[in-house]
This record gives sequence, C-alpha cells and structure tokens, in this order.
Amino acid sequence: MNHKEAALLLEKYNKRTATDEEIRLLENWYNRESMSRRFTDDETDLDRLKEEIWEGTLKRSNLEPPPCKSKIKSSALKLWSYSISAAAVIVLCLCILFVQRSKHRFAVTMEMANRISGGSNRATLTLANGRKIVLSDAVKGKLAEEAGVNITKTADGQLIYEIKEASEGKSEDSEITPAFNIISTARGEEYQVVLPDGSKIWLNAESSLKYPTSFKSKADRKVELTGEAYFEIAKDKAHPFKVKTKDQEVEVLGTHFNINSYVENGGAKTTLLEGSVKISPLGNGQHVLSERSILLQPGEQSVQQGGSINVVQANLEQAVSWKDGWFYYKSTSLENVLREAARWYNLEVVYQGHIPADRFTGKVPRNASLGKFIKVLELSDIKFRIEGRKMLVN
Amino acid sequence: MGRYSKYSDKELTDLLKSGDQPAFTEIYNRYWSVMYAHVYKMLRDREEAKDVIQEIFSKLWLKATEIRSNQNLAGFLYVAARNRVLNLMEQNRVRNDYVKSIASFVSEIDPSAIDHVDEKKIIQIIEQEILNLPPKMREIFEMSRKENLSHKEIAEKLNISDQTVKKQVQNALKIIRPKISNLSVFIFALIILK
Repeated sequence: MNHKEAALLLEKYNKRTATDEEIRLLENWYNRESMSRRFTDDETDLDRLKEEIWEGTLKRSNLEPPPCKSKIKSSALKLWSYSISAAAVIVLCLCILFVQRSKHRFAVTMEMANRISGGSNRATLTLANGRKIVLSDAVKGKLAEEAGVNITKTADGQLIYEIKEASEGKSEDSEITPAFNIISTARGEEYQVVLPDGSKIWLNAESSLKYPTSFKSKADRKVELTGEAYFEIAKDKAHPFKVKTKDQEVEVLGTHFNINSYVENGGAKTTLLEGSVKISPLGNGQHVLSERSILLQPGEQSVQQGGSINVVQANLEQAVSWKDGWFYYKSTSLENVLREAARWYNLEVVYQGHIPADRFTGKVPRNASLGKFIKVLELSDIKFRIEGRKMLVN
Repeated sequence: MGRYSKYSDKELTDLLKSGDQPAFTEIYNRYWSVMYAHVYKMLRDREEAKDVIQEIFSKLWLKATEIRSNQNLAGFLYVAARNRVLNLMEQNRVRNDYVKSIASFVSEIDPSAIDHVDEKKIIQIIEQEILNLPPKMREIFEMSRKENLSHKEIAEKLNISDQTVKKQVQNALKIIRPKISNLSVFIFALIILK
C-alpha cells in the first residue's frame, strides 16, 4: 500500500464508506500504534489540567459548575488569573473552601472577621399605625398574626412571611385613608415575602418595600421600593402591578424581574427575566413621563439615569444571583465588590490611599463568613484590615 | 461524592441517562486521565488533546439519552476518542507520518492476524492503557475506581480468571513500588481492589 492509498483508507473510514475489512485494518493499525506509544508524564500539575478540561467540558455541556460540596474531592484550586487590558483580573474561586490554600494569613484580622457572618433572614415590619415589629426566625404565632403576617416554612427551610389581606373592617377604612405597611431590611438582612395577591418578592439588604394593607378595591397594585428586590408577580390583567422607585415607575402584568435601585449605584437597573414590563421615568420623582416609556423584552436590562432610560442585554444570572445566595462578579471593580459586601456584612469601607484598580470575576457564596470572603479578595494582593465594623483597604 | 464513587459504571450510565449531573462529574473523575493520556500520545498536542476530551465528555452529557444502557462506558468513551483522533489525523496533512505508518502496517500485516475490534477487545485495550499510564496518573485512576471494580468483575469483563487479574495487579505493584513515594495510599487502593 502506498501513502495515497493509506490516506484514502483513513478518509473512507472517517466518512463511514470503508468496507468491514478496511475498518478492521485501520482499527488494528490504530491499536498497534497506540500501544507502541507511551504517554510521558511531563504535566507537572495534573489537578490543574483536570480542572481546566472540566471547566471547558461544563461550558460545552451548557452546565453550571456545581456548588462547593461536590467540588471538594476534586481537590483542585478553581483559581486562575488573567489580565484584561491593563487591569489585573482576579478570578475568584467558585468554591470558597479552596481558599484555605491561600498563603495570605493575617491572624488577627481573620479572627475578628470570622466572627462577622453574612446577612440573615430578617426584616422590620412597620405598620400603618407606626408600630414596628421585628420579623426574624424567632417571631412566631400571636405576635406575627396580630400584625397580619403568617410565617411559613418552605420545603428547603426558607421562611416566608406571608402578608394576610387586612380584615374587612380595616379594608373599608383604607378606602377612605389608604393604609400602608413598610417592610424594610437593614444592612446584613434579606427577606422573602408573599403579598396578598400571591406575588413573591425577595428583598435584598438595606432595602424597603411600601405596600397597601389591601389590594382589594384598587385599580392597580402599587408598591414603592428602595434598594433592590426581585419580583415574581402574580398574573392579574385587571390590576396592573406598579413598582415605583426614586425616579422611575415599572408597570407589569405578570412577570419576573429584578430592580436594583441602590442610590450609590447611580440610576435604577431593571432586569426582565419573563413577561414584559413598561418602564417610565418620573418627572420630579412624581409624575409618570409616559412619552419616554420603554418596553423591556425578556433578557434585557434597562438603566435609568435622570430622565433617560437605556436598554442593554442583561446578564440574567448576574442580576438575580443575590437571591440565590451568591455574589456574582464579572470584571467588577473593587469599589462595587466592597459596596455590596458592606451592605451584606454591615461594614463601613475605608480606603487608605487610592482605590486599587483590580477587577474581579467569579462567584462567592453569600453565606461565607467575612473572614473567608476577605481571604478570596486577598488573592489579589490587596490587603484588608478589620477594626470593629470598619474595613480598611490598603 | 462519596456515594457516587461507589457506583459501578453501569449505574453511573443509568444515572447519566436520567440527567444526573453528579454522575457526570464522577464519570469524568474516573475516566478523564486515561482518555487524556490516550489522546495526547496519539496527537502529541496538549491543546488539541484537551479539546478532544472536552468534546467527548460534553457529547456524553448532551447525548446521554442515546447511549444504550448496557453500553460499556469506558468503551463508549474510547471509541468516541478514537473517532475524533482519526478525524484529526486525516485533517492534519502536515503530519503524514500517520499515513506512512498506516501504509507500512497494511503492507506488512498478515491478514489472518487481523481480528475484529469489538467491545471486549476495546475493554482489554483500555485496561492495557491504564497499566501503561505514568505512575502518578495511574494512581489517580486506580483510586478513582477503587470501589467499583473488584478483581472478579475485571475477570468477568475480560473473560479471564481472577487469579490472572490478581497476578497482574501484583505485577503492577512491583513495577510501581519504587516510583511511588506515597505508597500507603496506593496499597490501600489495592486492598480494596481485592
């Protein structure tokens, strides 16, 4: 057999046009060839190679990296860094446990930081009459019931504070003077609530939601939000659901979306996952400027700034990761990383000198203690010190 | 994870077909090393080998429902890898040493010595590939499947006696012993194998 014929044999095999005998020939050659070769172990870091290949495999399989648990045994540091333009990008490990390998150890800082845990499921309910009730795991039974709150536990152990429809007598009153309750979270608190119409709302830290005690006999379901919340709105075409933030109003029929309206983040960001929403800027923070309204498609994010609203393609996972228990960074500046952390760990961030230009990419579980969180960030060579509730950044 | 490492290949295949992601992870943990070693030595290109491994494992996940439940998992992966390697060999004309090797093989081979490469044969080939792994990789591989393949199972699969398998394992131990620093770990793996 000459070379040309051999090449043709290979071609026929790949095209599946080879005869049985030709298939046998080539497969026998292949076996002999592979047995005659030795794989020499020039790879110094097998764990890393294994992780690299696995990462690519997951991506091509359209899979998410699994949570910490199943990764522990694979004993590989899910950590690598690369640079984008001039900024050093630190890719945080997906599983904070691996960070134990980190060489940076600052015993004193760590001891203090480890005592500071992330936020908990807690909020304050302010009734129309001004009475304040702290809603936490401990509040059960009568106290909660009086306030028109029904506490239930979901299958995965999450607490849901379900607001009952106000009683009939009160509802008549509220027609004359509409009564509002306010549910608010402080720094380090988050909270899940089911409104009387069945809509589910996740409230992030340092946020508040003002809602009427009853949606009955109202043309629309109007609530006011500060901070950040994720909404899953129950369908009710006759009663559009409206969320008012400082400078915009979002009108929906039945849909899933997230609004991030933290003042220090600039304008409100509204991210739509399902359905459709109409977003209108508010003139003087009051009147809907309907001529400047925009309609959002699923997968889009609107960024409202002053009187204008821009639409961009959203990173959905990033926008709602907080409600699933993750900090999610994608080339995120240190300032933004720490701003979110400050709300969650109830910290005051103090920069000593200029703010480092590092950018971060990755996911960190929100239930990590501050100590572990800091260990991840310190892989970037930035140094942190904790003094009480102050975080000093070098 | 601990639970999954105890599953046999067949159990993992069934779980995989039902869309079980931890089963997929376990299959990868179990077979990535031997598949990588095989593909790398055939292609002699690290990036290309990585690409092939990612492709065959992601296909395993995406097309899991098409796998027969009595399909031998290692055999399935091996055939996928072989097909891909042969494809790449054809595409890459620069390396005509393959063509040369095929030509001389076909010219010299005694036709009666050519046998059909069936599943049983492939399983034998894989076992041989495992034995030929560099010690460190082999150790990883043996550890990864220590709990799911007893001598008896290997013997049944290969259609040889337990004694032969035991002997092979003992031989393997002799070869590996001087090279492995962390001997206790590996011995533990072999005890489990018994």
